[in-house]
Amino acid sequence: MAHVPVQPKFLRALNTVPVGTGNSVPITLFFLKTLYEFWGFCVNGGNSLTAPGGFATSQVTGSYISIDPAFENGANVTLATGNDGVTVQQTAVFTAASNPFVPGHVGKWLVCWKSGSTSTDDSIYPITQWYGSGSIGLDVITGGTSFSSSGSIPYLTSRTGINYRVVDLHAASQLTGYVNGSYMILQFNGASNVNPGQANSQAQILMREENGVTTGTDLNTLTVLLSPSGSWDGTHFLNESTYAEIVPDGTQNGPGTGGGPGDSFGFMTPSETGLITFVADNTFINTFVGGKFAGFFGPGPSTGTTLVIEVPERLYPQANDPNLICCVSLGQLGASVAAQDIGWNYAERQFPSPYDPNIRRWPIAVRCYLGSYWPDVSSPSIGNGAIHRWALFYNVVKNKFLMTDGILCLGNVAGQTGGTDAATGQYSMARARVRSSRFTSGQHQKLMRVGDRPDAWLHIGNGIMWPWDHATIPVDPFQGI
Amino acid sequence: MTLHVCRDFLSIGNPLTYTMGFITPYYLAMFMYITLGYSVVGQTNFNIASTPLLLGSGGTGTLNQGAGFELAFLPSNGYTVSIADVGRILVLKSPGNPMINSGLFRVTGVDTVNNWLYINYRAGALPPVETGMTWGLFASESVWYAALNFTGNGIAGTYQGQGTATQNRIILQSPSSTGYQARLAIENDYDTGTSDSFGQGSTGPANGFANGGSTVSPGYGGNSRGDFAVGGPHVHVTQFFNNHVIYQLGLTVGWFPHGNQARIYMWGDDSTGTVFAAARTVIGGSDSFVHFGLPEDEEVPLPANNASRLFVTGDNWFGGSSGIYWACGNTGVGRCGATFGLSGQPVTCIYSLYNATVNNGEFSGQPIRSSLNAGDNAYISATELVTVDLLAGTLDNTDGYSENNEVWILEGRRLGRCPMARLGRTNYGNYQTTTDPNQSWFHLVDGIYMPWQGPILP
Repeated sequence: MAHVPVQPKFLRALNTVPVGTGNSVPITLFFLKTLYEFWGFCVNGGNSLTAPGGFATSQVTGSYISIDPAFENGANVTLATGNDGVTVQQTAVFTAASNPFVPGHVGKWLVCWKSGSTSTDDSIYPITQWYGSGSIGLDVITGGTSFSSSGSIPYLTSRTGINYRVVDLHAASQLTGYVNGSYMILQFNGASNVNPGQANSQAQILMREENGVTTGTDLNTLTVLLSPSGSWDGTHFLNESTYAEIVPDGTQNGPGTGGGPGDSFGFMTPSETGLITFVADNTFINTFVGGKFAGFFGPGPSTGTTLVIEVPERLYPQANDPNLICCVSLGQLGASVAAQDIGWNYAERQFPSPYDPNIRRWPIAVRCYLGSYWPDVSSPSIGNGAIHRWALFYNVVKNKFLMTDGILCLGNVAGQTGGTDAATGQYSMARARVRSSRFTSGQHQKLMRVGDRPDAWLHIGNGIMWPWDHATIPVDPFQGI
Repeated sequence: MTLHVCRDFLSIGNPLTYTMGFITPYYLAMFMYITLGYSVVGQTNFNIASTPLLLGSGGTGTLNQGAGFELAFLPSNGYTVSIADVGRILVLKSPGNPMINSGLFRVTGVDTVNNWLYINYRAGALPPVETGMTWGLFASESVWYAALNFTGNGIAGTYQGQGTATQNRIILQSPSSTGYQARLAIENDYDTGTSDSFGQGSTGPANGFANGGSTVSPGYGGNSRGDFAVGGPHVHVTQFFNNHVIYQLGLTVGWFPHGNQARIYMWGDDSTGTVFAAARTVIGGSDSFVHFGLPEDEEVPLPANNASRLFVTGDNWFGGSSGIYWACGNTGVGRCGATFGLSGQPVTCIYSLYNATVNNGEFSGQPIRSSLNAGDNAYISATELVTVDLLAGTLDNTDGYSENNEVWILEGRRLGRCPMARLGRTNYGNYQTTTDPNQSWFHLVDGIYMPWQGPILP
C-alpha cells in the first residue's frame, strides 16, 4: 500500500501571555484552549462557527469535553465569529465585510479556517492591529503559507469566505469550572484514510496533578487515555476500559534504565511566557511547548514538553490489527538522551495492542545507515554515526537528503509497565510505521529544512524530524530541545 | 522473472583438502551459465563453456524416468554417458519446477543401457517428471582445483590480477535487459596480501589461511581476458583504481567460506540475473554468502548509468571473520558491499535493517531480530518477515584504517529493496524451512530467510 502522506497545518511558536501567579491551572487551560481551537477548527473545522470538529461524536449522552461551560464559547472567550473573511496573497491583513472587529480585539487571537481546506493559512494568529471594523492586522508567523519567492517567510494567501473566530485565550485560562480529571476527547477522523476500515480512534486528554495524581487541584499535567476503537460513550470508553492513563515521562532514560512516567507536562510557572507549536492533520497531532525563559515550562530554558498522538500506518492485515493509535508524552525533557542520539524517550510510542490489555512502550526502529552488526549486538542505526562529513546523508548528485522512517516494534523491553518486561507473546518486528516523525542523525543542524511539500520536514533537534512547510521564522519553535 | 533454486548441493568430499573459497567461483559460473542463462564475455583459464570444464550440454533433457528411476536423467544432444561421469556435476535449468529441479546435482551413477545419469537429488522428496530441461555436465571440482592459477602480471604497485595475468577469471553477461556483467576471479597473493595477514593487499577476500582469494564483481565493459577496464563502470575496486593500497581493503568482496566442504545453496533470477549464493560448511570453517545483481523496487528515477543500479555484498574477511549474517559494513564483521557511485567510482553498499535508535536499553542490548522474546507474531500467527533496503554511499571507509580517513565517496542513496532475502527472527532454527504447507521460506542464519519450496534434508 502506498504511504499516505501527511497534510499538516501549523501553529508555529505562538507566544503565550502571563496568565497568573498562583497554581498551574491557568497555563494548563491556556494550552488546552489553544489545542481546542487549533484541533477543533483549524484542522477539523466544518462550517459551524461555534461547534468544533475533531472531537468525539460517539457519545449518546454527555460530551466530548468537561471543562468550564464558558471554555468553548463563553461571552468573554469567543468575542466574534463570521464566515466572510478575506485575505490577499502575501499580506498580513484579514478583512470581513460584516465589520465584526473592534479595537479591543488587538492582543486577542484570530482563529481561521475553511471547511475541507488543506491550506496552511488555517491557524491561530495574534491580532496586532485594528485598521477598522472590517480589517485587522495579524502576526502571520504562527500560521500562514510560505512562499519560495519571499524566502520562505510565511504570509497569507488569497482566499475568500473564510470562517473565523476571535477568541481570548487568556480569558479561557482564567475559568474556574474544572476538576482533577477534566478532559477533552480528540477524535481522529482521518484514520480510515491511513488504514482502510479503521474506526475513528479517540484520545482523552485529562487534567491531572504532577505524576498523574488523580487528586488535588494544582493541575499542571496532562495525561492521555487512548481508544483505538473510538468508543467514548459520554462517560468512559466502552471497549478499552482497562488501558492505563499515559503519564508524561519524568526522565530521558527509557524503561529498564531508570526512566519511566512521573512528571508534569511542564506547566509550572504561569507568570512567565513561552512558545506553543502544533503540527497536525486529522490523523495526528504533534505538540511542543518550550520557553526562552527559565521557569515557564520547567526548571530551565533547556526543557521542553512534547505530546504526540497519531494514527500510524498499519503493516499487518486489517482483520488482525484493525485500529491503531499511539502516543508519546514527555514532561519537561526536551526530546533526547544525548546530542548525538535520537532521543530514546522520543523514539517510542505508547501503543495499545488488541491482544493484550496493557499499554506498552513500543520502541521505534529506524533504517540503519552505517551497516548492521552481529545479532547479539544492538548496533546503532544512525544516531551514533560519525557524520562530521555533511555529505553522509546528502547526495549532491541527486540533491536528496537521506532520512528514515520509523517502525514500531516490540521485543523484550526491560522495565515495561505492568511487569511485562518480556512482553511474552507480543513480539513484533514491524507493526506500524509512524507518520508524525522521521529520523536522521542527531548531529545534524537543528532547524534544518528538508524537502518540499507534501514531503517536507524540519529537523527539530536530536535527530527528530517533523513535518514542515519550508517556512523560516525569526524564533526557534523548539526551544528546550 | 523466474526464480531458480539450487537446493543443497554438497561439495566434493574426497579429497577433503580443498579450500572452499577457491571453488565457489566455479559453482557460481556453472549456475549462472546453465541455469540463469548468462553468456561468456571473456575469460582466462576459466572456460566454463568448453572442455575440460563443460563436458556436454543440451536443451531437452528429461528428469525422472518413472517409478524406481526417479533420479535418472536422460541427457540430450547426443551425449553418451559413461562411468567417468560419476562424480561430475549436472547443472539443470527447469522450465516447470525451477525451485526444486534447477541447480547443481552430483552424478552418482550411470545406466549405459538407457543412457541415464543418476543424480543425488538431496531433498526430502523425489523430483517431479520433467522434460525440456536445459542441462550442462561439468567436470568435478578436482579438475577445477587442479587448474587453479594464482599468477598475476607482476607489475608492482598495481592490481596484478589483470592483463597478462594467468590467474583464473571470467566475465559473464547477465540475461538482464540492462546487459550487466559479473566478473568471477581467483585473486593472487600479492593483491590479497594474505601473506601479511591483512597487511598490504587491497583486494579481498582471503582468510589468511590461503595463498590468495576470490572475488565477485558486477559491472560493465568486460574484455576477452575476463577483465574490466581500469576506471571502468564496475565494482572491482582494486582493478578500478589499479593500485595496491591497504586503505582500500574491504570493498572488493567475494564468496569465500573457510573450510574444506560445504553445502551449497543458490538462488537466481533468470530475467535479471540476480544471485544469492550461500555456503554452509560441513566440517569446521566459516559459512559465507554472496549476493549481487539488481535490487527489487529500485528507487526512481533510475540512475542514468546502469552500473549505479548494480550491487554486490559478500565477504571481505576484514577483521578475520566471515559468516552468514546480516552484519555488513561495520568494521570487523567481515562483510561489506559495493555499488558504482553516481560520483563515477565504486562506493559502499550495505543492508539497511531497522535498528534501534540508540545503542542500548532495548531488547536487552540486542537488535529486534534477535530479541530474547522473539517468537511467532500474534498479529499474523506466523514468523514475521520484513524487507530490507540496500543503501549506497553511507560509509567513508571499510578497513578501519582510520575512522578519520575519507576513502570512499559519501553519497547516500537508496538503491532499492534487497532482492529475494527477507529479515525475520534469528531464533528460528538455522537451516530450517518454515512450517507452512508449502515450506515457503528457508531460514539460513541470523534471520536471513530465502524463498523455498517443499521438503529439505535436515
